[in-house]
Amino acid sequence: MTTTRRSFFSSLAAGGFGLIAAEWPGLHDALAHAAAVRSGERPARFDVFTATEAADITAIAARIMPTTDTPGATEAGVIYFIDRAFRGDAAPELADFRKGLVAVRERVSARRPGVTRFALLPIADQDAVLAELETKQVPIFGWMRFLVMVGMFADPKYGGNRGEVGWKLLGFENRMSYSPPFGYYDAEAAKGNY
Amino acid sequence: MQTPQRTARYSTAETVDFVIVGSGAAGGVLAKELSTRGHSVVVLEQGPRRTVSDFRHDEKSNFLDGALLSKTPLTWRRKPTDDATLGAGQAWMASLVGGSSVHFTANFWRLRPVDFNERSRLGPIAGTGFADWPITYEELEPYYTKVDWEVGVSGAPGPDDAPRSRPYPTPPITVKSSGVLLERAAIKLGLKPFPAPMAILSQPHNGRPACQHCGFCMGFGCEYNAKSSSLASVIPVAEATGRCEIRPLSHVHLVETNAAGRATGVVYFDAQGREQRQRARAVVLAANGVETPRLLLLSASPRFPNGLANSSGMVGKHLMFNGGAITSGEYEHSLNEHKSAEVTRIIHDFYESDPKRGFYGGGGIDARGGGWLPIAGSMNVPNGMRGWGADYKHWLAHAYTRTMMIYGHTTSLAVESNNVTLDPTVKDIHGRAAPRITYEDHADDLATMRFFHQRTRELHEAAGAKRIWGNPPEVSRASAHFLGTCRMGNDAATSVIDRDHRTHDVKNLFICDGSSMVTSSRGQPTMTIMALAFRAGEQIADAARRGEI
Repeated sequence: MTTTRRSFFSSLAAGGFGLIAAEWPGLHDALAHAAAVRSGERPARFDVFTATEAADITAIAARIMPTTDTPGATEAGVIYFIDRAFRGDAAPELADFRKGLVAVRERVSARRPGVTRFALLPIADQDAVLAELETKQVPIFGWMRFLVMVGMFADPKYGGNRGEVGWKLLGFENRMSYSPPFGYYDAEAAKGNY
Repeated sequence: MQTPQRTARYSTAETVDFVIVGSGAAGGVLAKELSTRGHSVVVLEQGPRRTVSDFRHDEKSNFLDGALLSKTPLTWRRKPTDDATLGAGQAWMASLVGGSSVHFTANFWRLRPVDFNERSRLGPIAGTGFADWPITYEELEPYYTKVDWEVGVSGAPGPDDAPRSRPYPTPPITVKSSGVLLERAAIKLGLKPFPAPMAILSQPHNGRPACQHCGFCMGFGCEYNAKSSSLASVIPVAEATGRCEIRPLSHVHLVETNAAGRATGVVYFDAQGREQRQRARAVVLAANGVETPRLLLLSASPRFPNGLANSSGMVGKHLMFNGGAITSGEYEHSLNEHKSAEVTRIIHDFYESDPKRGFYGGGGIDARGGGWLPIAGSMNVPNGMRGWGADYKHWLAHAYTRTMMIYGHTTSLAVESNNVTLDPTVKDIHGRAAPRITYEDHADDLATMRFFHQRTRELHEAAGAKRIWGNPPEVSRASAHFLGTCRMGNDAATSVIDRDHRTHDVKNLFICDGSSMVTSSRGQPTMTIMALAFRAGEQIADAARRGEI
């Protein structure tokens, strides 16, 4: 029974979206290679996604948790988390997720006629597309944001959060025990500075 | 920890003294009380048996995948005229040996005398089944003390607590930054904060170790056995008697009765999905406020056409959750709320209902991590902030360790039309009707939540929060507490069980769990469920000794 899991995904992706007939382009190895180079990985094969899909997902993830002075979704390997999720527990929702990616491409084309790929947009346009998807509450936005956060901050064994870069970003230590003081305020209180 | 060395194994052909359905907060205690008094006991638990070494620091598994949660499908609707659907509401109940006591947060507040006679003190409330309990705080007090000492509760008495006959066995959990800030704010506002009573050991007790402050309490099984679940505390004692068998992966779907109207045992699906029958001289249901009424309704027969023990029609009715109000605050310095037990300080100044507020309700307040684990923290976006992009990432990196939440935990009124019934179409994997929740918050419950929402904001302000956020409470679409659905009472026409947990209709059928509660508590029912189970176990064993079962 996948009720719990499904409801977590579908609560964010709820609303349903119309079927959009679309022809998927073939594999774009060059793009996959580019994405892999950016993440410092050798070109990867994905279990579920085509290289084209993976490049778009990677590009969306990189705008949701960008690489700044600290590692972002790309360095965390969020795409690998998402690919693995749809191979496993989220597999029943893959078709809906793919429809969501089609919806993204529609916005891309509307913004830049002739361009069909999110990954090929200039960054400012990428952000504008995501902002539009968010404002209009297009389900794929909430879904991608959810997956990026989980991929960034879940245990690395799920494929993302590589090198625990997500945890390091937050200051979360995954330790089996701590000793007081735990934070600034209890440390101050223990010193009598109340 | 006591090691079960002579764990009993009974054949299903044997008639045991007691079969207990459910091994959670109540079932574990009942198993211990009945087996240590010399009875043969089989506990049927629908979930698996897990041990400390099975538990993990894994937020995704526990919170997103529901690794410990019940697999029973459950439908949900607001009004009796609505269609109930799967996924319309979330029931947060664990399914494993130890039940939800394994994954609870471990806030262990006793009730006060007023909780038991509030209806008499305040008068009736229109549209509700608001009622007194048939027992008093004074009657339950010795059993609260048993919970403190046998299960293991850390704390120190609060300024307005009810009298206690014995101190806490272990001192309060070390205060953390959220507790210091809450305390500081409360004193500024003229309130009386005090150390939170927690079912987590601050020092070694009963052979179990102290909390190691790892921070994975709510939603997780304790990896040290320091959290006082029934799995960690009473179940090993029951098994050590050599008279108690805990049988996991056993999903009971029928309580059988004979021509004389007595319970003869239960029928369940075992781990392989085969139907099995366990005969017993008496049956005790402790399956929680959803599964217990569901089982009674599934056990309808020509003699009991509306469900077993349901001559009153009250089985499944008067479902109560607990309301809540949650506000987040960001502070100047690091709190690191991912460390240690969730809660270290609480406020009970708004415990009692105050007619001056214009509505019924009361509750308690605590402070704890604000999305204290990484995934939840990343999704706790302040109102008005864009929750993605470089700015958000920058803020998150700064604020994750600086955020805490203040929670209000509030009463829910017993409303007859809020209930657990059998879904007419949805079935579980065994083809048995799924439970259907119908729940609409009473207007006073919503007013109470809004009142507490304001208090949580004031406390953040008084504590010096740099940023405060959180939406006002809405209608309940999820709960971890399912209470009141087989309520206790002296009148067989308006209640399901008597003051000693015996069903009014079936002499050798007993019920003890959250469904027994007549009022909802101030948001922390588990301490009371365990105390009721200690008392029920004693009453049932005494009745057996007198030949009155």
